[in-house]
Amino acid sequence: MSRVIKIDPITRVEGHGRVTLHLDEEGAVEAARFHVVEFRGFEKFCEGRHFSEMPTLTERICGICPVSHHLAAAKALDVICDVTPPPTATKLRELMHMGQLIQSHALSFFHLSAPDLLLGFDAPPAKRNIFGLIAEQPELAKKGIGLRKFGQDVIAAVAGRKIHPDFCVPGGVNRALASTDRDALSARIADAKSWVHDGLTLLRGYLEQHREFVARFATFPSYYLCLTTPDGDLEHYDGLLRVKDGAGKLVEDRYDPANYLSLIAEATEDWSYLKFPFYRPAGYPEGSYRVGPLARLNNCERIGTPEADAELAYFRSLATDGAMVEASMYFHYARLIEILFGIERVEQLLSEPDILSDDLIAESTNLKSEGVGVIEAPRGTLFHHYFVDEHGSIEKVNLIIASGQNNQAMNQAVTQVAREHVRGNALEEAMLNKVEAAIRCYDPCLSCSTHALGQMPLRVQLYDVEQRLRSEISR
Amino acid sequence: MSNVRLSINEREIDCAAGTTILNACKAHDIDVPTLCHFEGLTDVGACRLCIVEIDGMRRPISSCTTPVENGMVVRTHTPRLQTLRRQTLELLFGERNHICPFCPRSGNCELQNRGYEHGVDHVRFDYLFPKLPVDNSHRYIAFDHNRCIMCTRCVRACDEWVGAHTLDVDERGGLSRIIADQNVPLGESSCVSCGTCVTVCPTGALFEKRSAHWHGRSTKEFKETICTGCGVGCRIRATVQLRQVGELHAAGGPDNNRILCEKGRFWLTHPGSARINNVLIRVGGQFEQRDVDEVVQECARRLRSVSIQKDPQRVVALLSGHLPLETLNATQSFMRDVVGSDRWVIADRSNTQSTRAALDIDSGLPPLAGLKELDRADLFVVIGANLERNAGVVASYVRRGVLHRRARLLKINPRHTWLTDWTDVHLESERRRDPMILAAMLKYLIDMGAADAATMPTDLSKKLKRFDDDDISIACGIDATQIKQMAALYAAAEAPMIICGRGLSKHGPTGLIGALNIVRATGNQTADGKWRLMDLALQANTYGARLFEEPGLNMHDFDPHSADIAFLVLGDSQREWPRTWLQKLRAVTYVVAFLTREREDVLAASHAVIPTATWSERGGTYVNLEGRLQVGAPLMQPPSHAVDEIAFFQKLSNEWKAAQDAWDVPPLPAACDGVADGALLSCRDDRDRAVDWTTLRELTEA
Amino acid sequence: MAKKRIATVWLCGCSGCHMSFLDLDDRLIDLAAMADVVASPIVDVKDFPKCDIGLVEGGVANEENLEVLLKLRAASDTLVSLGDCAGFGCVPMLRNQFSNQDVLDRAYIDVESTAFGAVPTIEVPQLLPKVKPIHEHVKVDAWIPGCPPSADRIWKAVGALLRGEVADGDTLEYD
Repeated sequence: MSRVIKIDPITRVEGHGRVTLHLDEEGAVEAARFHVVEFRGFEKFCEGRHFSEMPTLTERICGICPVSHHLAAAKALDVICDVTPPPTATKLRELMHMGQLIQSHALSFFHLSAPDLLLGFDAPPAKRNIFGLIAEQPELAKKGIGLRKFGQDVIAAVAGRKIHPDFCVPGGVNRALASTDRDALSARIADAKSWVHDGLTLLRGYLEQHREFVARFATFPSYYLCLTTPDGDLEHYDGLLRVKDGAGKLVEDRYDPANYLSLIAEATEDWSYLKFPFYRPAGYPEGSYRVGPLARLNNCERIGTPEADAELAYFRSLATDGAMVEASMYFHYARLIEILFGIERVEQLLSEPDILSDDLIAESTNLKSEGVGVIEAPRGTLFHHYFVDEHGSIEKVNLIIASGQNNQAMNQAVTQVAREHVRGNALEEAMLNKVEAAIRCYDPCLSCSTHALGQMPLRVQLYDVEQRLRSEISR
Repeated sequence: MSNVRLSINEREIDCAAGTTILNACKAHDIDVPTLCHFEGLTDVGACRLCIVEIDGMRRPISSCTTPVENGMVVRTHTPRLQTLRRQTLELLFGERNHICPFCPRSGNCELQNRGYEHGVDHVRFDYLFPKLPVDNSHRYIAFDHNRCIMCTRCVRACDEWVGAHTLDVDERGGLSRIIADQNVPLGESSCVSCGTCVTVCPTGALFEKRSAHWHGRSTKEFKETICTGCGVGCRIRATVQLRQVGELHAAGGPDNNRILCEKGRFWLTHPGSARINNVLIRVGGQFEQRDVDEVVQECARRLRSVSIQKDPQRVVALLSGHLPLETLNATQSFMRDVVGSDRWVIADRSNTQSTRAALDIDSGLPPLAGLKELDRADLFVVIGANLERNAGVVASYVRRGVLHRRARLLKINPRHTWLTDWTDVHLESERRRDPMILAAMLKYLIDMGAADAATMPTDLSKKLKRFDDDDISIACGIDATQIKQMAALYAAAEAPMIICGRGLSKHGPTGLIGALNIVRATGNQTADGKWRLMDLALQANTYGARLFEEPGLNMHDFDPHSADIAFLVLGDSQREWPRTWLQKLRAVTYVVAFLTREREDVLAASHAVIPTATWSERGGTYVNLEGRLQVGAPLMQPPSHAVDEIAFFQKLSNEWKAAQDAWDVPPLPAACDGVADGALLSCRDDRDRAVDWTTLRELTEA
Repeated sequence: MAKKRIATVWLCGCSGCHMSFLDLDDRLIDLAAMADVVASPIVDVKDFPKCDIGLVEGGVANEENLEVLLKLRAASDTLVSLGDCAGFGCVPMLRNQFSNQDVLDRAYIDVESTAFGAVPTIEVPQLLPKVKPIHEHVKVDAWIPGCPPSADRIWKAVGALLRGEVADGDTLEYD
């Protein structure tokens, strides 16, 4: 008799997913699958609309990182309209993007994952959440909330509101930064930095303390993909693609993101609405690659801001065999380093002399038929690719979403952790929570990935070999 | 008109009979919600939001289509009405695919606002989810039928104001949909691209592609100025966001004009080429970015040269008629008073010497009718004009006159073919014979007793008498009976309006004088003493430019080798420059161009390029084709790279001349003294004019 | 007074309303004092216990959405539609103009970057023919429109519900 365990839904991730664990007779995990169960269809229903709506339409793909889609759309439209935004517009876009990096990473770490690390994987499920954290460690919870708020407030100050702003237009942005907002944000930088340093200290402590556990928790080689500056430094808003393999060898560098179709492709599996992107030259599934904070810090030469670069040195020391940092748990560490980078970058951008300029829209006198907009969303590289006709109607849309590119890795992580920690004959809730935690490392934004979301209770279902349901346990 | 007394919401109200209940409410600050109502359009009672309860009537009725009656007791905001309104709004939301979050109109949408006012937090009816098209085929406008509420404001504006009637309604009930022509894409339709439909649309169904998202969710703020697209001089309201002009709407103005044409609405905001952001100096074959002072010094050096000291006429200047009077005035004064050259010209093809001769401009403008008179005319004679292209607003006034007031339409050599079915007489003659046709028309008017020969020089009326139909047929190259028919229609009309275009004036002054002869001899004057004649000015300041002394440069016979320096003061001017002129300029030793945007042939001829402020960044005085003086306000500050032409010439004068010869920019022409913004300049009309009959006689004898 | 119990779900939406909920920031601490969030995508309890207030983000797009919605309706005293997707269908509703097959084919088969494409069928919930707002499926007690509704708006409405008041006619916002 074989059994299937479902973890449904996976909670404390931004989206709708479920895991099935296939057990053998002894209750050991044979196979694990991470299913994404939502689908909305943006690729189709954007067709026929005028391109100017894309930034505000596609940001509705995701409420967690709307700014990423808003920016990727705007960048694709810059190409289509054949314009370069004025310098201040580009800076404001990046400033907003940094706000998003901070808030999204803060959410992932403090609100969603910290309860596992600080309260324990085996803490009662009813307590193992941000409210539990508020009760147990109010000071830390406040710092996490404060960091996320700072990020959201950067977005609101720049773009007019926190979620789903109407800010970017082809060739620029439609709102100037007010000096009062600039000053107010500048005044909060020191606090924000100290909070993230506290978080870093805490996490480093955890990692030291659980070195063995962490090193074995969903650790495997893969390719890594992200944008970097032409010099190979960390870059989120613009830049060129870089790919390293599992041994840390540079296999692609300064790759023009507009040619992404030659670099990556997506496979589908019939059990998930989330597609499986892979590095094209290596094929599927061998070309499995990871994106996001871990990939960015593994791939970059330097970060480019002093405090974050200091943390990068410690990060590098965590590498397996001195090459790449592979354990999924280190995503959390990379994420906090990026928060620090984000705050430093906000500080730099706010002190740019022309940041208050109102020269913000470059006019277009030409229309091209195709545009690719690529940015580093908090969770990884995000591609928006539009085709338009001579009137500006969208003909086709292709979206490759950050979280989706970690799909294979998440499946690998789930399988590894399940095999290690789940014993089907003596099932404990904490075992299943560890499986979920493996996914939380990747902070998958499933609303993005499938362009939708949802949720259901956890059920463990016992099937016989004919796949008939024999019994069911709920929690 | 008699007065009516009624009660609205327990208030006794007096208003004129015939007023709608809605307008009575508006007049007394009672806010009745509406969607399909739009000030100035015929009310149709389509949206049912303005329903009111009237005592004695079983059902609520639409207040926009119901006239007030004595003793009526009206209630506008009973719970029952509010319930019905909310229900109506929910039906509107559920009928099509209204999705506010990514709509460019969100925050400025009337449907949304009505929804908020009536507490529509969800729709209780099942959504219909119709599959509807988004029509992006138009160059400037997107039409998303998902957001259309069938208020038909666009249909009515296109018909009633624009006179185009491109838009209409297809099908009925729930299937009804706005269509263009016989259901073709808007971009392939008869649309005249005036954008009026976008202005009146209450939702995001019709939006401007370029600037739709430039305002985010903030409420649009408008600034007023005047259109520099042509001599009609419409007042415009512009949304200004950051350093960009978003939408342009008609601002009413003295003539309460509600429409713009393609030029005013879209051309001003859709430049065809890139802005020039630096002072450029040609070094070898390439332009290099330099400082403006280098150009000043180089000009001064050249002005000091022996050849120019000996013959100041070797300095020439070409100005655009789209520039404000201040810039034109300073430049022409610099040429006359500092350089000592009268070789300058305003490069406006409608500002020819023949027009000046015909209208006797040098000492004042003739009192000619304006836009408002077009709305009263019952007959239009259109001569040698491409109204649609050069004066779209005039075209709209003519079209709506013909379509809605059944005004007659007589066309002589027009460049367009619209309203073909509605044209009473259409003469296709050789263009140079237009003056003959007008003379012949005058003769027939005299013969019919419709024109008073006594107002004309006796030799003219005598000469006219001599010709018979055969002479005229030969002279005009067309059957004289057609001209006779025209004269008869003109004689029968109460307020006939003659509209002359450049096709008439470019062949000498006789045509325009002929037209003026007709209106004078027939006493065709408005109540305030203006002649019902419109001379279409192609450029914003064509008339303003006529206030200066006559310029001495004629580009037709201009020899480029006779000039050492040419100043091209062009501003935004892109279109009115004949290629041949610019090619000639290539032979001039040193050409300084002042302009805002790259234009290949200008750059090819120039040795130095000075970037200037664009129309929206400069204020200034303009005189429109009826002699109205208008002051445009700058919508925004010019960018730091923009050089002011007046300041440039002042600097050049200071650099060149000694202190005792210092030049100050003189005031505007005396005619503008003390004239308020929007007032008519004093017009002069004290001269009899006579047709040059030599040509006519020669032709007849041939 | 016993602490009120709140459950939240997201169905076919973008999670923006939940993010706006988290934008309560420091007020989350106040909220924790007034109420227990007993089930939510941000907490780990995976079935709906009985609760006073159920907040629903997102419309109903697939079988699973509907199943969850029915369960929450049964579990909660007051069911609140949070945001435009739950209340109006909003952006996901754009799908309704196409057949499900067309939409899925475009996403999984036709798209430029797809290699080895096929439409997923196993272990994924089937799409319903049309995406609809939740009140077309269950009785809804209150609506908070907005895309997303701002944290202030949520605080005001939820605060009123916690105090047992009817959420008053606050000014609306659809975007």
